[in-house]
Amino acid sequence: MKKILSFSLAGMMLASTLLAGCSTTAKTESTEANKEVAESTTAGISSENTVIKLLVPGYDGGYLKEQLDNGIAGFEKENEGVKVEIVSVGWDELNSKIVSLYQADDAPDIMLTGSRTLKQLATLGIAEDLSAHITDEFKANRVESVLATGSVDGKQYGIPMAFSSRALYYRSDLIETPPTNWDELLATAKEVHSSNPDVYGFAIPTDITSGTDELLNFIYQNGGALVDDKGEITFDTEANVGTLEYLKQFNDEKLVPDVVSTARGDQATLFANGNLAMFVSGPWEKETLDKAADTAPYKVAVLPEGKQKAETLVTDSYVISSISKNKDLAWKFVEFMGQPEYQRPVSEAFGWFPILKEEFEDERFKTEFMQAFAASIEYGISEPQVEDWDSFNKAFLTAVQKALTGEMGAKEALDEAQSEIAK
Amino acid sequence: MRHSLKSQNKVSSNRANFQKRFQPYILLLPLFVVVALLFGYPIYRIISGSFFKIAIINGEMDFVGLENFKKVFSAKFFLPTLSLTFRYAIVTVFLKLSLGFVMALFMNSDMYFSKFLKFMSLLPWAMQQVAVAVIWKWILDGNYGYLNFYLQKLGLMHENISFLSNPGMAFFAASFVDTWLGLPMVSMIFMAGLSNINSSLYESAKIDGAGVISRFIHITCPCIKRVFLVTLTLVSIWTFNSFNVIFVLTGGGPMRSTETLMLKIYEQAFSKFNLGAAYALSSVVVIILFIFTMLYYKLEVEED
Repeated sequence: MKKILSFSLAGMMLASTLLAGCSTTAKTESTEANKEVAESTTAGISSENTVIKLLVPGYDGGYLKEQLDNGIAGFEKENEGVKVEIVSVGWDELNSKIVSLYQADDAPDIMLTGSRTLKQLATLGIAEDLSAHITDEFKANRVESVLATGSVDGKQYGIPMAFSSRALYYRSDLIETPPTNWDELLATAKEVHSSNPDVYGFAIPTDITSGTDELLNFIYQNGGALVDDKGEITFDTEANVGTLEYLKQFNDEKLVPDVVSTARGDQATLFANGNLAMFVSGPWEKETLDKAADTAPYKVAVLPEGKQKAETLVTDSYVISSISKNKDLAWKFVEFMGQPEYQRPVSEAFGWFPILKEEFEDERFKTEFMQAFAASIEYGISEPQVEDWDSFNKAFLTAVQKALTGEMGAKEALDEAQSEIAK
Repeated sequence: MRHSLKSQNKVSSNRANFQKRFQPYILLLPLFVVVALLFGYPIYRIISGSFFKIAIINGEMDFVGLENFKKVFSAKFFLPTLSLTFRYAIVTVFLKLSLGFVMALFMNSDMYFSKFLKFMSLLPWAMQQVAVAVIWKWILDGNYGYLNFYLQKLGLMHENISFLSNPGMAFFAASFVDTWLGLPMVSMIFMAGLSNINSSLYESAKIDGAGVISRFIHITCPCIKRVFLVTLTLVSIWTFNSFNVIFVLTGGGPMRSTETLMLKIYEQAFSKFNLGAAYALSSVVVIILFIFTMLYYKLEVEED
């Protein structure tokens, strides 16, 4: 008997440890049954008491909270009986949340996600093809090049709602003339650091959330790309090796804070604390920097050019779930949020650039501060569209970290990443 | 009449025999049902799922035989990740057991503050693992971390140390935090084992002139051996399965230096949406942990 008891206990012990890691992936067979129940339930419910779920990364941390809440209140007022429920998730856990919600047959009707993951969501059949909704009338109000970032292989899977541009922030008391090209950027970083040893000349973020977007500025400026026209991954090109070798010089000369642990979000803090002289980011850093402007005065300049002028065009999009039972209502919400009354506050929240043509006339774009960001847009290149963004992102960042820290040569590291992704 | 009495006796003795033989199993049946439902079914799902290609949207399953296993075993990451997981488990288990044993020795002694020490040592056990990992992430931060700040204040270092961004350091940092969380349990188990040793053994050894080291080697070690082996097995299983601490502290980085099998399973399932491969990797873990569990089972039976 004791044997049996010990065996049971041992079994329970093994199982409990396993379940900790795997239980969420266990798909129940009752999915179909649940669906049927849900369908039959919704079939009997009029749109007057329909709930649509909107997945918003970063919402609990304040990302677009006020703006979305206002939009939702307006939408609910206009569509009596309809309720929009927000499901919040961290940016880094966005994909895992999507999986678990789909596995639990509780998929959100609308997802707010980086446009870079659209291809993956489309390939997996998660994102609904919205091409039929993209009428001339719809396009008439939108900035076409920005709208295009929501399309994959000619099909519109995302409706962009946030569009950001980059500029170079620099300490105006330490740097008289901002650098305009790569050589000057390196020289200025050296100069500032040698006369102020406590101040890093520049920063190179390699964090999993935003690192690739920021590194792409350099990749594009050097005439490189991470994906070719056919959608094939091209990490190990001569241009990309050259980019990493250039960036490595900053680390070799200790001009940048630890490249492995620096996140894009850390740069403004380092700058405001007086530990950083230059960094590349978007207009949303203004609020943090203004607070410390007395001790760390700043100005912004157009991104320094490499072989060419370039920057990464980053957009976030609304995506409608392919298995939503309220697709029409979900589209109605996306269209509703695209009205100037609701889109403008969203764009203004983080100093984003126009989604709608009429936003170009806004006063905020005429300031000296925003001009520096606006100047690079015409040289903008979209983020790569790949079928597995997370793996692509991780492999590339790992290669960058290995190359910049000298763990591997730039070519070797990019070759390794290329073969890892190709597997 | 005699015949019917005989047969009646036979029936009742058969019933008694039956009861004697099967009653314990009948009584155990509810436990088996619970175990089968709560643990057996999910494990069955993990193992059976590894033979299918599973669509994320509708859960459609296409039988692919051993394809998922073939892919997993031939993947470049498999052997390095498996080796890393074992190295991580070995280092962390060693730290947990050695420090846990030393702590247990102190707490079991008559020293001052031993009760306070017992209370303090239990605190990490009471804290939420994710919160602990976040706190340690702050402490070990390479730019503004407390540890770097105090090391420099005390004049022990002149430059910041990249605890979480240097591959080697991050490995040990994750192992250390995992140890910090696991110590209370280990030290409590050891303390229970130590307190079970009959004090008269020590007293008579003392009378016979045995010193502290001799008493430790000839009394403490043999008496604690079984507890030690059971703890080793349990801690090995828990550590092999560590996920929360590593995920929050390093996310498997830097440069994959802390990416253990559990993180790979997570990546396959939630980044690559490749549920079949995640199940296949989970099955590998099942087999490895099954071996550990059998070891534990063997030790339990040996005790009986």
